[in-house]
Amino acid sequence: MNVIAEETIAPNKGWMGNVDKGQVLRITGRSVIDFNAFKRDDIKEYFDTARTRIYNLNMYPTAGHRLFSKQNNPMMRLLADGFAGTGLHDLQSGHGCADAMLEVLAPLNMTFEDLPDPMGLFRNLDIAQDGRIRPRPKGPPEPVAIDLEAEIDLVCALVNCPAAETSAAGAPCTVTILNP
Amino acid sequence: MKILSDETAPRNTGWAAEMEAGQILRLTARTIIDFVAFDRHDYAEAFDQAPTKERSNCIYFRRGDTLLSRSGAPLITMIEDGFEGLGTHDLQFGMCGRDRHRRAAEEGRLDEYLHGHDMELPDHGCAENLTWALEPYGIPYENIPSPVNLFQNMDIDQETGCMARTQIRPDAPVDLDLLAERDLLVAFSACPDKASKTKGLEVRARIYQP
Repeated sequence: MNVIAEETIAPNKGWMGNVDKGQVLRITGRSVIDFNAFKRDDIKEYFDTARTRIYNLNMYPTAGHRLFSKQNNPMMRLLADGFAGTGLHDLQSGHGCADAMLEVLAPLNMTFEDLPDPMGLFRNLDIAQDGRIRPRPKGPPEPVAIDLEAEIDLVCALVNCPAAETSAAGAPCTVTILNP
Repeated sequence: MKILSDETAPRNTGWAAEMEAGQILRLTARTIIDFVAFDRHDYAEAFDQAPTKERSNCIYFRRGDTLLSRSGAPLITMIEDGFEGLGTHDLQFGMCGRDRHRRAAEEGRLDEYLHGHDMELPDHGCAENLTWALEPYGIPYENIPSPVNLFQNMDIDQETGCMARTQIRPDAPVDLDLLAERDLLVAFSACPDKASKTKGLEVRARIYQP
């Protein structure tokens, strides 16, 4: 794969960019990253956590799963999950750094009311059999990569949102766009 | 308590009503109910699964829990749960509907999704029911939040996160009492519930003034 673009995102900073159909978005990091995606031609079509859980019949997104839109269309395929075996990504929580995400999405005139719930990479919640949710901060010891392939032309956005209790509070993350 | 209204939504239909703070909605059923709520004076304050789970620290909606809006505003609290001890109310799923049924059938995954192979799929589902019920209020589909799925008891593997539907429903209709924390627009769909033996039943909705 060829690198088209690469950027390092500091803690509490965000990124927004175009990912074309067929391109791979590689997010490499260790601390919590909140992620959203929108159909480029119509941002009213957004990555939706519930539709995604239903399609995958799973609470946690990992390799082999797809991200689905509110309108029930596939948006991204999770090709590789470097966190698998170490911890779990999250589809339960809201935004940890909503202000930072709204700043990143300002060109789309995004409002808080319209901001969809994110996928929380590396959040690693502990969900017990009785349904109770507990934080379980434990990022990977070294940065690992999550590869997402765009199934349609997208605008993607993320915020590097480290929580004080994670083991990797303050770690930068890298966003790379690759052509296969 | 004084009864203000008493309506029954037939199987695979939607229902919507306005409530005042302090009033109680009693849902009586033994089938899946996809339920949503909005601040009556600001539909942008719509129920959101994520803040609700973050406040309760639980993936299930239980007696004593409050459904919150996206900004964390309390909308409606479950004060009585006739399903308690029998099963759990779900906050993972969204609405069933035409698109979802069609995709599951196309991919040959109907069994995984609905416990059936060659079943006759309903021509519409909760997505359509809620859209139609909320149309008079000017709320389009993309602004309808993923609901709380009452009586949708799921089998969830804690380790892998895998989810499977179950057949667990009450043997006879039970009451769920929901207390409005503010003036609300509430709506639900009586799910066609193809995964269950009953294949969907009616839902009785009563509003009380305590």
